[in-house]
Amino acid sequence: MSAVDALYGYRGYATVVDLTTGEYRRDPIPQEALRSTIGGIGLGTWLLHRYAGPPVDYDGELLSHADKTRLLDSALDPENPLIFVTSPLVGTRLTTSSKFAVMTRSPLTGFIADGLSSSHLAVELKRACGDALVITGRSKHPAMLHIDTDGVPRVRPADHLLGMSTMDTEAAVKMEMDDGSRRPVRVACIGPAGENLVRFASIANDGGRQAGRCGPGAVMGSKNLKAIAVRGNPEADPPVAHSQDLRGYARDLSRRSLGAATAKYRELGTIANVSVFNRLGTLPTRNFQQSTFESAEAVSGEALHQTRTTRSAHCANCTIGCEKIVTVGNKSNRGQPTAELSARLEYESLFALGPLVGVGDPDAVIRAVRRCDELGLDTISAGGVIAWAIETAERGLLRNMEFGNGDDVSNTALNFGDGTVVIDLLDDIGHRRGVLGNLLAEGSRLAAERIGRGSESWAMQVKGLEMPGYEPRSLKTLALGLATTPRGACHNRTSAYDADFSPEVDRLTIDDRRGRIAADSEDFAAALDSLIWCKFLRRAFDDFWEESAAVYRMVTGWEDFDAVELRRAAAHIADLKKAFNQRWGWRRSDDTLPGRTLTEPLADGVAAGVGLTAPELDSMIADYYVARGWDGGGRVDLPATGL
Amino acid sequence: MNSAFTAGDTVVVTVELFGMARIQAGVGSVALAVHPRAPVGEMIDSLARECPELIGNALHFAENGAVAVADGYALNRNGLAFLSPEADAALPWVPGDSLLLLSNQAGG
Repeated sequence: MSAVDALYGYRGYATVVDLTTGEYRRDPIPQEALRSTIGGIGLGTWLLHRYAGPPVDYDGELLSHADKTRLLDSALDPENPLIFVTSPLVGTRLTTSSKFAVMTRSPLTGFIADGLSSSHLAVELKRACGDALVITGRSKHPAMLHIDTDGVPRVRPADHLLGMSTMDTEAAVKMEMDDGSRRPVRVACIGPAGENLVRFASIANDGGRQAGRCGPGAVMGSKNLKAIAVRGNPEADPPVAHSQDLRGYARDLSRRSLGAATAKYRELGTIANVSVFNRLGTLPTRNFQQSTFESAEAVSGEALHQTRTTRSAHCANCTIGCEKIVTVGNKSNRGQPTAELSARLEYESLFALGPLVGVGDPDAVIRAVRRCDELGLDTISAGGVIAWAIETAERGLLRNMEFGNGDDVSNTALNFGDGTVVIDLLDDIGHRRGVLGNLLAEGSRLAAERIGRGSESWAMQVKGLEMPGYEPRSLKTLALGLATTPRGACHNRTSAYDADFSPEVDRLTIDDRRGRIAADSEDFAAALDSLIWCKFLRRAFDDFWEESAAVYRMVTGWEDFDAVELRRAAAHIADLKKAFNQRWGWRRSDDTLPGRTLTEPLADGVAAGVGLTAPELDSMIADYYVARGWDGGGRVDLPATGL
Repeated sequence: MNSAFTAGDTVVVTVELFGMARIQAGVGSVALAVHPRAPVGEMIDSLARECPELIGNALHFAENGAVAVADGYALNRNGLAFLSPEADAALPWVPGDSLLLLSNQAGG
């Protein structure tokens, strides 16, 4: 038995497919890399370093709009890998463990793009492809990548799938691959947005679940790859070192996952945030011009629970069931729900296509979320760039704006609160239709740089990634996290808001503890995202680090792996992410927040008058760099990362 | 001044309910007349009397028999400060104050 065969929990290799040639190979992954980066996003970051190739010639100076666009466009070159990564927990019965990571370099930010999705696909990927599937090159023709139980990748034509929504694509691929087996293929695919290289296009799976942020769907589209369809051999599941112990632990964790620690997610889902965030003055509204929304109650989780037909859904292998499928139409006035009028409603999608664009009609929000899922668009970025456009138009800077080809957008009436316009714009963006659709498909940073006239300051993005639904001026610890995470403005790669929503800190002021808190929360997220556990499980652990290290030992059999090593791995993963961005031109000035955040105090809500100054943010960032062990300029020591 | 309070003094504090607590109680808020120095525990006890539907959900009986906020819930004063059980009685209640009962599970 070879060293690779002796692995528990891992396959020990990645399947690498070159779409340009149609050839594939299996590259071994060293055990030390597996152990030091765990899996998921951690291992994915290591693989991204390995396969992304040398950076473009970039001297770190301020870039012109054209140069920055070129740098971002290079993420759509064939050389940029698209990597699907599993984890040692995938294939076990541990609740929430059927997840995969999608890694690439983002065409929206130019930096690391690390998405997660829960899916049956994760199990099949591990069986058919090993610990990762690395896709490079570009197919000459629209293609689908099919990997069946023999593990051999086959590139098939996909012209007939072009233009289809994500849901229709998945259904068509499954039907096409149906051989009467009881085990269907599992599919990941892009919608029209990915085909049209919208910079914030997502990759969809399991009927509309999305690896949404940073534009992995555009990278997939740039490879002429419409879908991947995978069905592995169950006999290829790697053994677990201590399967009986793991089964016992899995039962106990499942029981805990149904307790108080996940009650909010199971009962109302994340849309329960709306009314709370509104009351706390942390609900970004009308492009962050307000932190409360006068129609918040109408789109609140409580109201939707009572007025709309809502059912819970579970991700693959999950006991929590946080997903709420909400149907348009007041349930007192209508009959049974119909699938085409329902949407998976999460807080972030609801915030971005509701309060952020001033829409208080719940049905308009549901329709917009549904449209994003069909088109394969990241809802947060879609809402963010539309909110930027509406504010810019209301200031008179977008209307009658002539573009290079002589077109103008004078006939486009953009106003906050118009749900019909939002859906029209989503379609225009997803198809890159018209001047405005094309402009907004670039994301708010590039769009604002193109329009200029000060609109950059209300382009609510960090590193090019649009802001999530947390007002940083009234959540100071999270403000630091949003400014510094390598992914850009992301609430999922830092759980710093947990401190803000607790007695631990005063969320409206700063102090010198925030750097440490933000770094620790980032490490926590890195461990969750690499093992991979769902974040909604995080309060169900009695001691996350000890328990997770024990689970890792049960799976891998590496008996000397302990909580200290897991913490070290998490910090190492944070270093690797930062190192990747450094290689691709990260500068200190990239760790910041939008101009509006640093110049305008909050206008309303309980935190009215509260602001966040640039020196305050810089002070927290300096503390964060110290906590991370990086130099004063925020740079990680590249040789120390082992790269 | 704290010393100015007498045993008969009362102040009306609004308890605002969020999430399933609101749905279970059937109301968004409850007005409670309490002593300005009322500990939070006493207010929770009053809330349980006003909204018995919350017992077994957002509220529960602690080991000492008192009604307490259940695991998974948090308290916040006036939408600003989150309260820790130990420190919550430090400031007197004043007219217009609110006590928020909400999930402790941020994020999503």
